[in-house]
Amino acid sequence: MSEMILEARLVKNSKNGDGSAFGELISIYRKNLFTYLLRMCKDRMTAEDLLQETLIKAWTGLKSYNEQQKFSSWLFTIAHNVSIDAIRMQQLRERPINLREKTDIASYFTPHSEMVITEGRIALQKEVENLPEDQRRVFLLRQQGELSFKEIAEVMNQPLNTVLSHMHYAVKKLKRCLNEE
Amino acid sequence: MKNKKKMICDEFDKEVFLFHEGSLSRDRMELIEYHLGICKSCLSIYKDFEDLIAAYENFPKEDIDPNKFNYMVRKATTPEIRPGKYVQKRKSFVEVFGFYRLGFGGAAVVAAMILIIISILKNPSVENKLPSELLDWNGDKITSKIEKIENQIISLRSEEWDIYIVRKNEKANWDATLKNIRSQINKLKEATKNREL
Repeated sequence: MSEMILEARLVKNSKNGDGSAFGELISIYRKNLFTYLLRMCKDRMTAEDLLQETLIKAWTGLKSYNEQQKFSSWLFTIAHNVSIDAIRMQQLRERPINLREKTDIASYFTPHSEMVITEGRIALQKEVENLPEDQRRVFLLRQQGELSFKEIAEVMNQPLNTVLSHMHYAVKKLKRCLNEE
Repeated sequence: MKNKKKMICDEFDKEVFLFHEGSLSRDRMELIEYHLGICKSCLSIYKDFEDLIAAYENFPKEDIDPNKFNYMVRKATTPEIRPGKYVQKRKSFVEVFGFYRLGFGGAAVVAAMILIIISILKNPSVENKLPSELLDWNGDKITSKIEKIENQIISLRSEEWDIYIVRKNEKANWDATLKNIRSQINKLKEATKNREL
């Protein structure tokens, strides 16, 4: 409850133009947001660019944010749109962002990674990144964005049943990978 | 009961996610909870899903260098250091109504005035176009001059004058003269339409 109050206060201060409150507010979601963007574009440099773009769009669009909506949903909607634009741009240039590229472990795990990495986990991570875009998006918005399925359906502008189907297939594929460990 | 069980198994594939996040109705939650207690197959699916989520949740989240992140926040919240495409620079008065605009505007006004003067010089007034004999009248409007001419013609066409012309065998010549004068009058009327000298 206190977290919600803190968030509401930070949102209010950010709306009043307090940049440091905005930094504090985004810091709450920093890891989830960055992980989501990194898993979507699969390239650290690109993910940083997308994060920057997300921050700018969040800051400039903060006035239009309705407090009735969950801040994380609003923030991840921006990140979702930013990543979609980036992927489309890459597809237009016919130079996919490392799509299907063999994962370079060193590029994933920086000194900021929190745990010791096992091969099985890397395999799971690879499998997440190799999911079809919609399945990956639903899975990541649920796991990284901590959005409810109803919120994901709104963010992706798709029916709830479709979203659940994406999740169903994503989980099926990932379970297979988990069982192979 | 068997049909009911089958129905829940079929629906469970998707509802498992909603059950996991607790967003189903209370009745539905209770029904699925009961179903998991009696259906090993669905319970296995649910356990697998929980394991997967747990495995993924234990996976390290990616992070960005906090200094880099702070710089990003500053970049986002400070328009001056944002990338060009995001800078919505407010135009100053000088930029909007700058001297260069005033200069162009002034030049345009001067050019327009010069054009007007040239057009006036190149197009002499109607007065200058009038035959010299019609300019003998002073102080009257062109329209009144025309009226005077018309009156003269009417008087010229009087019977006496006609008789005189016929007698002198000059009627044909006079008709031509009259036609010429009428044509001049018509031209004058056209030239002085809605204008006064």
